[in-house]
Amino acid sequence: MKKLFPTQEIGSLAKPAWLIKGLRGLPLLEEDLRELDMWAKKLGIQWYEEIKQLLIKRSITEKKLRDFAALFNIKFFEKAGLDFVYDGEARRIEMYEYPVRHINGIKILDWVRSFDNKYYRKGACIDKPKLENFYHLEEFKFVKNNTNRGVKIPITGPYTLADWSFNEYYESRLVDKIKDFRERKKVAKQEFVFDLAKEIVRPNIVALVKAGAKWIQIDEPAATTHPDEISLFIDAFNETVRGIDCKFSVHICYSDYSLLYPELLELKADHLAFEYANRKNYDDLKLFKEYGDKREIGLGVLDVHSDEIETPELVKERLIYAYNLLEENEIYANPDCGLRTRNLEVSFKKLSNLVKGAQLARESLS
Amino acid sequence: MIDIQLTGIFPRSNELIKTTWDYEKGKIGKKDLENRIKQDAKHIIELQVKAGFKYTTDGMLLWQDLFRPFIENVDGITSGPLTRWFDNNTFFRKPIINDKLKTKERFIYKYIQTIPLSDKLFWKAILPGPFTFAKLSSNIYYDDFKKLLLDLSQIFKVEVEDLTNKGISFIQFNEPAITWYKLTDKELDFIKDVYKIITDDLNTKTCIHTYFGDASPVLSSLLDYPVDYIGIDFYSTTFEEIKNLSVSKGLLCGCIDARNSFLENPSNIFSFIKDIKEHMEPKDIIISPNCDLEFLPRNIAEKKVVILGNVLRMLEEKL
Repeated sequence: MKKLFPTQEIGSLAKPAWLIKGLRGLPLLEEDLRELDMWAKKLGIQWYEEIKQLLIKRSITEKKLRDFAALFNIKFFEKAGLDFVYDGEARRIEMYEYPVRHINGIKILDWVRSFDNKYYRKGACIDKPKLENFYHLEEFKFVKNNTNRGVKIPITGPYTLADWSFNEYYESRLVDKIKDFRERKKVAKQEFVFDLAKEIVRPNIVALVKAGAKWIQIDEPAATTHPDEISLFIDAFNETVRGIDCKFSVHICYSDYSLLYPELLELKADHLAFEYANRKNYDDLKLFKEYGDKREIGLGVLDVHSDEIETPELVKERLIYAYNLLEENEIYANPDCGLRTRNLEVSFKKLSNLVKGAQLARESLS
Repeated sequence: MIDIQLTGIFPRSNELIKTTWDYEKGKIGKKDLENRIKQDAKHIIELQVKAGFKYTTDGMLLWQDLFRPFIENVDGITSGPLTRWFDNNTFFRKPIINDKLKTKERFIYKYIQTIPLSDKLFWKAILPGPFTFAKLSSNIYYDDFKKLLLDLSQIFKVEVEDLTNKGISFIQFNEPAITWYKLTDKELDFIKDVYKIITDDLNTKTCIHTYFGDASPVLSSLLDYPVDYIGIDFYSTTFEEIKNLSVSKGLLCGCIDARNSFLENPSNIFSFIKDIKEHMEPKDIIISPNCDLEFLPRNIAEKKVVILGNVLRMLEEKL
């Protein structure tokens, strides 16, 4: 019998000071080393002493440090008790900049505000995108070799990569062909998204599946950003995964999910991981019922923008609510999104309670 | 008259961004941050003056988002969850309306006068439109949306009067929600009444700027609104669909794309403005970015301001 409420993470974890400073070759403070000591012991990582000494001497290689950070995160998720793990995106700057740095034709520009005093670096497409190398392959192989748990690989989708980039190349090609600004922008976007799907994301996925990937999560937080482009997102997703034998999920957060239906029924995904805890409202779950969507659901039960720790009882309550409402969908328990906005202590408590809450939910139904 | 103007928040310089982070980490004091903001505002004003702007803004560097000054100063509003700002990868704090709206003192001017107003320049203030504000808020106090909007209109009225008294000579209301949502004639009429309240007896130029959405279905209604200019985002509105409309007001033409780093050729913008002039014959024309330039990195935003200046000079020479 299938386990009820399997638990998964969504993506990123915060990068601790020892990692950031280590990568920059900066000296570590006592408190940074204490944090490393504490967590490494808690997670049972044997070879951390060697890493610590290399960090103190500032003689660690980037590869060694990244490998250690990836292992650290795998053990972090395992210790919290998750069924499906990855490496907390330890090798990635973040979900946009990392892939973009491996794509020829996209140039990283300066900071653009996301909200308040938070910024991200946005790329501009200045030439036809060309894949430099399979940018998730080595990290996947490392995870596969270092865990016995289920592995799910998060990868940023083509629509989001395009939507979060400026589009100079495709627009400039159309200046003389399409006079109207609006129409030109629309056509340029379509060309950009499909080139990213075919030339960048799909080849990465093919390589991962060849290397043994069984479950890939395509992150598309931009999916609902432009309501009139939902079909573009869906067509590009389907083109990306066409004919590939693997379980695919889509993760979309901070969005109005009602905008996705009914088109979402056409999406070739097996699992839908959405955010709910942030809005403290699970009404949108009714959409699945309304449209008869019986696919797996990754239920966001942890708010990643708050330090408040959800209790196991609250997690259980949220899972049971979804279970009772959607008896035909298989429900997974997960945070709303990656936990990189929280410190490790908060993230660990949240994830541990997620696991406990899922167990409570199982027990209440047994 | 043809003018060039900004329409929203200007991106902060890298130096200001870093200073803000240093302030948040407690590495520097408030005074250091304020000084950096003033330097940045001064630079942004100089940039506009050099390009040939008549009405200038300080870049709205104190605005964390378009609604934040209201959340921070109006009783009855608290800060809600991060919410996507229309179709952008940018988020705002949703205002939560949980009590009757009241203000104790005027506040908007504090967010505009980053540096003292100079007598030599005309100043432009950019505010959220009351409809967009109400529509994007979470209202748990008022039993009727109209009542919320009417109370908001009173707060706006007092603020715009205060701004006018303090020397602001152009006030723009950003109303992306008017073109984002499909509004009925009744709703559009009610919003017009709200603007009648706000602009009644107001001795300054006013503009309602619509963006992120197609203005063609509502433009004829907006032309009856009691403001001097209507703003259109030509990256969301097809010119062909509105070109036969005769415009009795000033038109703010959002034809520099603030959401793409692709740099416009001034000649193309010049031709476009020529088409607008010929077909729509607006009373005045303001050439502007379609929305806040803060969607761009600072260096690109500055280049777009220069493009605006180049277009203005071409128009002055050739038309």
